[in-house]
Amino acid sequence: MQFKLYRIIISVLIITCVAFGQATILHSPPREVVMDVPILIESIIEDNTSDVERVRVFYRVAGQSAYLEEEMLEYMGVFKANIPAEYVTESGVEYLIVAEFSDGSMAAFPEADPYNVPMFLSAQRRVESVGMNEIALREIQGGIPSNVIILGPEEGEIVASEEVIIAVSLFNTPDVDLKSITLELDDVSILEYTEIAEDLIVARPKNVQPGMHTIKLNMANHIGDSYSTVIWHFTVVRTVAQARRIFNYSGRVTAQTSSLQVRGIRQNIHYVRANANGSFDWLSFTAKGFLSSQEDPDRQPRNRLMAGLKTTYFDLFFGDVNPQLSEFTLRGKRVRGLEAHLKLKYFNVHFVTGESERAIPGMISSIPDTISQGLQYKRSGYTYSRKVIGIRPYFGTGRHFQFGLSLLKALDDTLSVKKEYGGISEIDNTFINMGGVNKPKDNIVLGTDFTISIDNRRFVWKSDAAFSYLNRDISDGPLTLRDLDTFAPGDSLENDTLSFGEFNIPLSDIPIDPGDISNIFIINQNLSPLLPIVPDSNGVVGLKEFLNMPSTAFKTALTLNYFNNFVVLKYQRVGPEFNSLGNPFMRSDIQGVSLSDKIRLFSNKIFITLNYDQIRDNLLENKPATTTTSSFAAGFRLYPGEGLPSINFNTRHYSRSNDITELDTSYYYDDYGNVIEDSLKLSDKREKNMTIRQNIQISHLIELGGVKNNISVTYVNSERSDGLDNRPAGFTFNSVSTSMIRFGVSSVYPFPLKTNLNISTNKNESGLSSKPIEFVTLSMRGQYDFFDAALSAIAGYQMTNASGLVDFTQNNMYIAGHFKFLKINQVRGRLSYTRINDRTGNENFNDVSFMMTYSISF
Amino acid sequence: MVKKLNILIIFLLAILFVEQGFAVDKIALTLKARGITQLKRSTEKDFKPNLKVGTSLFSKDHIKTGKSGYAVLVFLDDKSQIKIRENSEMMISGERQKDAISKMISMQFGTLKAEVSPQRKGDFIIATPTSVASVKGTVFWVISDPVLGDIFYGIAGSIEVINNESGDIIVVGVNETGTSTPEGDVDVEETEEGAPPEEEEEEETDPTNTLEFQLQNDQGDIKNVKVEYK
Repeated sequence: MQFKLYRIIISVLIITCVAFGQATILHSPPREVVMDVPILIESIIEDNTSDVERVRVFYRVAGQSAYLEEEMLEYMGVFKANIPAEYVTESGVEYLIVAEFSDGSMAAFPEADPYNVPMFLSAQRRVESVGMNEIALREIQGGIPSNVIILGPEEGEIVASEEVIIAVSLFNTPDVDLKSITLELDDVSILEYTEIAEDLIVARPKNVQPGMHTIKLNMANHIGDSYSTVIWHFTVVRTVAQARRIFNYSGRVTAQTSSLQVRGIRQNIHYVRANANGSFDWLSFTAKGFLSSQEDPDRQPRNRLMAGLKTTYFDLFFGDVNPQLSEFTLRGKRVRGLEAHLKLKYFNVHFVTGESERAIPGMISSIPDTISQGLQYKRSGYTYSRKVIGIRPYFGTGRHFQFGLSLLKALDDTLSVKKEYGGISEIDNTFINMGGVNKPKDNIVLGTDFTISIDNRRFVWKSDAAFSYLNRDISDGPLTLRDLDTFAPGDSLENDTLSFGEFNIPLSDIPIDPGDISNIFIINQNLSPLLPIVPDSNGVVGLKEFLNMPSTAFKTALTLNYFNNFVVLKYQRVGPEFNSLGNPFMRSDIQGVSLSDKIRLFSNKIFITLNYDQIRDNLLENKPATTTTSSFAAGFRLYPGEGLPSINFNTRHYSRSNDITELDTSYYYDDYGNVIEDSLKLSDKREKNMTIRQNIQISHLIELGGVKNNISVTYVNSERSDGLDNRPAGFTFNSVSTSMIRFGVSSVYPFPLKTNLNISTNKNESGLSSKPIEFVTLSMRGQYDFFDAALSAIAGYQMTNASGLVDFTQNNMYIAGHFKFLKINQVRGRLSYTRINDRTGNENFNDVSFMMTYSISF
Repeated sequence: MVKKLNILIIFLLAILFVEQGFAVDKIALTLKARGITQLKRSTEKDFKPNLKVGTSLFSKDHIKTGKSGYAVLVFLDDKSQIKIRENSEMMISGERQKDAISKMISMQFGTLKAEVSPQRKGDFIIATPTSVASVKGTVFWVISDPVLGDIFYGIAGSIEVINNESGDIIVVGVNETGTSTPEGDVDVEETEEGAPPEEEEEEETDPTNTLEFQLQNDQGDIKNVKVEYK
């Protein structure tokens, strides 16, 4: 009951989305997105008839061409993943969610062409800090914190002896008694080499010997109170050239432990994240690592390890990489292996090899089924190890021209999942059936692409085309020439002839034995497509048949940047049987166009965006219906400049319809095949619905009495309605109506205090629910900084009151703190208490959660 | 609602930027100076050679670098740095306010790298004959030529560049190259490998002197000897 209620609450909290098909991903875009802060993406899977295999979020910086992927982990029915902070930039973030089910089906959010029309989040800037970001290394042993700025040399800097200059700015510390200043280099006063002015201390000590040195600055204000001592270090080398050849490096290691309690259920998560970068002369290197307690051999890897070297002409990376070969081959999918990139300007090669899926043993049924030959156990939930190799030689830099050829080969290792499992073997009358949906596959994709760019890139034309072959099940291995003798249905006669109806092809006329090329591609009866090109009813292959090849993909885009308009015109066609295991979530069986324009007005103070796209499926017209989706979106952004409010308004009209005009009728039959009287069943599969979504946000920075207040008001509304009014009795349309109003104030005070206040109301109505759900949320947060933000204390409170279909009140209080010490270390902690009064289930919960993070930079 | 919105827009557009003049204030410090460098104070007519390390810079001071010239300037309020490469000329301006300096670099020509700390008061402006670039906090290169136009290489953060001729605006992000021409054209594209200028330290000329001479032994064998000294 708790679990179910929680799902309902979260479902509504994250705003329900429109349901198409059987399974639906419920997700609400985060309301407040701030630059350089990770975004938590949450979703719930509803109406799925088979088990969820995995859910992933794909994300990218808006406008970039490739996505990165992150598996969403499930907790109490909610799938969660974070979009890392480095992808939350001023350009905004684009993302989509894809769920895979055990029956091989998938669902996506957004539902229509999620890869090409992903969700978009604009990121807000943080309110500027009053305090200095750049602080010196200080011993906090008493004294007043000062706002001095070390101009040079910086902490840890390596300088040549002839360039040593010690400079400190007093710009932000105006009350210094200049006579009180003492400056020491290695505990020896250097005041004789020092010039002290009202806002600047500059020293040029002579004959500073190579090695590490320590500077110590002491001073007091005009009433004699001492400031904290400022201490920092630097290294001197003999010459500038010597300084250059010193190995430079930087990095950060973060360890976090957290214990989260939700409605009495606790989950503990720990991780260590590390990255390091360095350079020596012409060579630079990078390394990243992420080790999580959520790493589980029964799931795809959560841990990430990568190390790489970069030079001007050659890059080499080992470990977990996200290569981007080309549009239709490999594009951002994680591969654990090797990535190499040769960059010779006119001739370049991009190469990738490794494992994109690791083997997961899955499970075996505990109780066997009884079959005629004996007992049969069923294996499920397994995944074969998948090896990929991709190469893309390409010519030209892309500045004016680029032409590329790409090849992707993906092959599952059939030996990576053992049939016999859990101590159960196939002996005597005991059998094991590999019943899972993840059959071992073989895939080959050949692609080509070109880019033409002229008129200073005002005119850019880019096209990609690819052809694929997929073997959906290679567990029985390849066919041989001998197997072809009796391969065709109904042909059991061994006569060295392949017979299809009236067609008889002698095996001697077949130039290649499919078994001989199994190391290139495994050919058997599970090929997709079986025939790469389908002749017309007369057996003729013409232009139409060529263009309608079922496993080809084509995409072309023309970009024009003229007269303050940025116009993009796209056409794409992805055949129903095009498959790339390096890009497995690309939607196939679609054809459509899109046209968008971004218009800049009034010296770019106003931006207008317009976008229209239309996509249809059923390209081979072999499905019961053809579904067409159309979307029109318009946005208006006003950025008048500093000191004036900014306005952002967006609207989107999304329609979906199919060409079914008749109701589907069926009858129930009795055991003898006779129609049961009055058992007529009507099924309405017609679709014609419209979703209209709009939001407006106004934000303004107002300074009152030295307090900077960033005030924002947001209104979001979404309505989904049915366009057909002659529905049969009993038909229920899942109409959805949501509205949200939010008011927020972020304030920065002249003293080191920052506060946030947010109030929001949210109302959600669904055609499938008996009554609406309404939420009112109030949140407050305050942060006070000590010692130039070396120490921060945070406290917050949030109240959520829900009424309607669910009825509860949730109060959350938390305290948190940050402490930076010795400049390179930081400790963060958070303790949270949540009280839930659940009136629906008549239950109360007292949840305590905590989190502790330590990070060190070097 | 629409009518009110229109009124609001018109009101906002009517009171856009107000340009402010800059007073003469000490705003920056010279951290490094190599090769041929020159300084012209705002009160002086001519450039004087050899910009010295540790020299304070005031608003409207002009700096020029010649062959192998290199200078690093740091602003006093937030440690923003300007690294000026050879054959460049620019004027630095700044208005000291209570808690920050409003900064502007008026670049006549040349190459510089700006490492701009987050600005507390307005944007950091780099103006060239072709464009005006404004940033709040970022790292980027600028190569400016009055005839050919400007090239901006984004290293971190983003830069908003306005073309003086057409008014077109581009936003140059990380690993992007923005171009702005005197004809009014602007463009942004992905930065080509190796296109941005390299850090000065990586291509510094060798400051050592060289003495070469030949030695000959009794058998007539000749050996070349090269001695490097400072």
